[in-house]
Amino acid sequence: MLRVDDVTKTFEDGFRALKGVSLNAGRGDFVTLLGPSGCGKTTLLKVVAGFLTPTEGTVSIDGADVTREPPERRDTAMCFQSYALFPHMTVAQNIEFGPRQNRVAKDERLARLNALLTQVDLEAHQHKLPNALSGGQQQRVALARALAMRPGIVLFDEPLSNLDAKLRDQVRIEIRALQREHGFTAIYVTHDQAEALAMSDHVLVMREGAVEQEGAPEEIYTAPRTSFVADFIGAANLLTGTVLGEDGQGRWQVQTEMGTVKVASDEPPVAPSVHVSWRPEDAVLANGSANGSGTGENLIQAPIVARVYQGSFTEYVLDAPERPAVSLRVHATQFGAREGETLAFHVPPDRLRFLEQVAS
Amino acid sequence: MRLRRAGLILLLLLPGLGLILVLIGSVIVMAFGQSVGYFALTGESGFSWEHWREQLDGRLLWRSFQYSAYIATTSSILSVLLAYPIAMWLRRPFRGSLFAGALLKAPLLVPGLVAAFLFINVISFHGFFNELMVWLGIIDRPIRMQNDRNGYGVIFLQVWKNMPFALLLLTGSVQAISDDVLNAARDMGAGSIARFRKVILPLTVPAMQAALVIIFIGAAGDFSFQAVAGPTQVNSMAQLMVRLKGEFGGYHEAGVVAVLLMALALFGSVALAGLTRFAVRAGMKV
Amino acid sequence: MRAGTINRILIVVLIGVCVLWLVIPFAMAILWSIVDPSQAWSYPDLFPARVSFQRWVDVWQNTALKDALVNSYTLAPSVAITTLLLATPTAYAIGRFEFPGKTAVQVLSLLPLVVPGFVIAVFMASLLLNLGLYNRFASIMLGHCVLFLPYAIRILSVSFGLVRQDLIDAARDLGASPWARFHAVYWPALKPGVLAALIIVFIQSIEEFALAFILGSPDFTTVPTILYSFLGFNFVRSNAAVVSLILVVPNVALMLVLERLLKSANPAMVSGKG
Repeated sequence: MLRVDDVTKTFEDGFRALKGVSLNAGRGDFVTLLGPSGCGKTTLLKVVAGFLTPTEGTVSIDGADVTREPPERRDTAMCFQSYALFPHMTVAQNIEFGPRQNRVAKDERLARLNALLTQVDLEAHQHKLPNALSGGQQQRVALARALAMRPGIVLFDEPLSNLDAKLRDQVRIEIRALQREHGFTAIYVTHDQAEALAMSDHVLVMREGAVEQEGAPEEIYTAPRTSFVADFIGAANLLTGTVLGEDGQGRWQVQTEMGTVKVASDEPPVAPSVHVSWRPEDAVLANGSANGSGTGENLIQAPIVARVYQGSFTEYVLDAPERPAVSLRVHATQFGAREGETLAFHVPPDRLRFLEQVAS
Repeated sequence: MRLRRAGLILLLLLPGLGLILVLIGSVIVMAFGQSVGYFALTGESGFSWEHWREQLDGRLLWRSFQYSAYIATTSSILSVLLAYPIAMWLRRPFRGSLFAGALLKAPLLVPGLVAAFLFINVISFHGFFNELMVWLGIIDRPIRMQNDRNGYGVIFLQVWKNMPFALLLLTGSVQAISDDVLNAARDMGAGSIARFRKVILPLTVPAMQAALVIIFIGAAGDFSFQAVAGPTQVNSMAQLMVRLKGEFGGYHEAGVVAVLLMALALFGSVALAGLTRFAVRAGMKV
Repeated sequence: MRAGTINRILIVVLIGVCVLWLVIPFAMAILWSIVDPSQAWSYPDLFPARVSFQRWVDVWQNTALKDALVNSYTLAPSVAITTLLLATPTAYAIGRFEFPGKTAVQVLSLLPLVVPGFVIAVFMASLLLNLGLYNRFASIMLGHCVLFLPYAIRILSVSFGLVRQDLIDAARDLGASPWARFHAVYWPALKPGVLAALIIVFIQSIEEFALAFILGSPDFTTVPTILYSFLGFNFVRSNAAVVSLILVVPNVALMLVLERLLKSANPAMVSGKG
């Protein structure tokens, strides 16, 4: 459906926003471009939409090369971060704009308008100007306006960033429902990792104009390949390790700031000196520690510096036993321990992951 | 408490707005009053339609009225028409756009009389333009362009002086349209003409109306351009008013002209603004 | 890249047009002002045969230009300061208060801009005659103040609107006296607007012709009225050229100052919003 091949974009001022990015999306896929601001995700979206022409590489839709086609001749529709509603047109006029431009017959146009107004629940507001609507309603008009074109691909540029948290969850569900119903391919740009994990079939984590890692959301979360990805998606404890040796069954002895630990990994470390990460929620509190339970390898004992109650869990901030300057984070459902006490916990070896080489 | 607040605000408005209302108000009252015979400086003061009848019967007034209406309409429309493409060009900054903007706005700094003098210098019988044309062999002898019968010189001056003003208003308004909105229109299949007609024009209507109205009013009440560069066989309204007042001390007659001039400024500019809106709306539908 | 090329071509075209539009007219004015009186500049000479500053000396010595300059340059600063003082309370009300009819107040304060200048001039003259007031300087000054109040009110009310209430509250919370509050919170936001209003009113007053012409005639001259007299019945091109330049040069200098000022007054800095 959509193929982006090795696209590079250099701006006139010499800034290289994209450095050889490729992307594949099948019909009906929900693909998310995730990364911090300035990583090139929006530039990539604009290249797909046709607002920017890549310096190198190609974009093709349904097998046809559209790299040089202007946006008005592509089968894409964009949902802008600012919504970009036409302020001088009513909700209905906004939604009808695309079909009118494309000379869709009147009956068909009205049928689409009415169907969309029902779907996004805006029938009552169709004759209002955008300024008279709330942020969530404006967002839905933008969505309906894009869908009225019956595009094969809908491009979302951080569409939820101007909404408050509760509304965001609701619109998120609505977008997925509409996508399932209309069957369009969605390319979704966000810097919010939770959003990316919740919505996508496929996630591309971008950094400085290149794809750092891509895969299904579970894969990205459970098996990050670099400390950037581990840190950007969810919370992670990042350590530097020196590999001491292997026991022949895929278990490695690694010396880290929290002591010497065992790491169970299918793949060998990329270098003798590598980054190692684990998720705070993977720690299992040990017997004897404050209300803790569980047994296993990699027993670690560390002083509690701070305790943050988060409702469904408690976060403990600890000093790493070997290097107190490094903080460790542990999420536990028990919350008996206090600052100044020592927390004892296990990190199962299969939950520790080798990342990239430590830069010397 | 609320009364005290209202009192405070009224007190604050007094020296500024109050003074404006008192002075402009009495000026308007004077003009109306004198046109119907009141406030006579010499002789009898009292209500009479005499001055209106006298002026409306004469051909002088109607020619002036038509002439001023013609100059004002043409100048304001031409200024805006010229300013639009330039405002679109300067919408997004590029290398040299600041310089271009400054050059274009320079005439704003030139007082009207100076502009008129400069213009006369260029087009006069032995001015630059004539000499250049003769030198290039386009014409044999200098031609007379000063004080042309159709008022083209005045219109040129009006546009020269007012186009930058229209540009100022339109650039601000065009720049206020976000790129996202234009990109959205593009994304939905609108080419550059459709984007201009359906998005840019409707969103800049207020600025365009403001430019038209202000230029229209200024040009309708013009005296200096007309006196220096205008046709000699017809007076502009302001010129006629000054003449009537000066030559015969005829404040009553001048009052009639003043009232008609204010009416022209008011209704002419309102009509122009209304027509613009109508035209843009129609343009959106097509 | 393509757009860049088009822009470059358009700029070249623009410069060409501006040469016709600005450079040639001004060059001719400068040339005319330095034509030596002993030898006329006439067809078909492309340049004056002899140049000197004799015309400037003549105009200075033999015409009323000196008086006109004195008049204009006492009138304009008086008008600028008075207008500023008159506009400030109204601007304060518009910028800092919400009240019913505020839009009407804003629209009405534009009144002097929509009534044709010569109507104001002629009937203000008639009004003053009826009231028996004959002081020309004072009449023109009053007229100019009213004529240019709209600019001052508009600029200053924007400035007052930029004064941040949270900063005022913070200053009060920290125990600042009214004077300290003015100094710390109001003045930084108002300063560019105050200076801009002063400069704009000053320039407008120097340039204004209708009121000065009607209310000042016959003996009170300002720079524009003297220019008009050189353009009128006794058209003396060289004198007109000299006066035109005298009128335009300070304007341009002041506008450059204003431009500087407006650039330094970055609204983001004043309002604290990025």
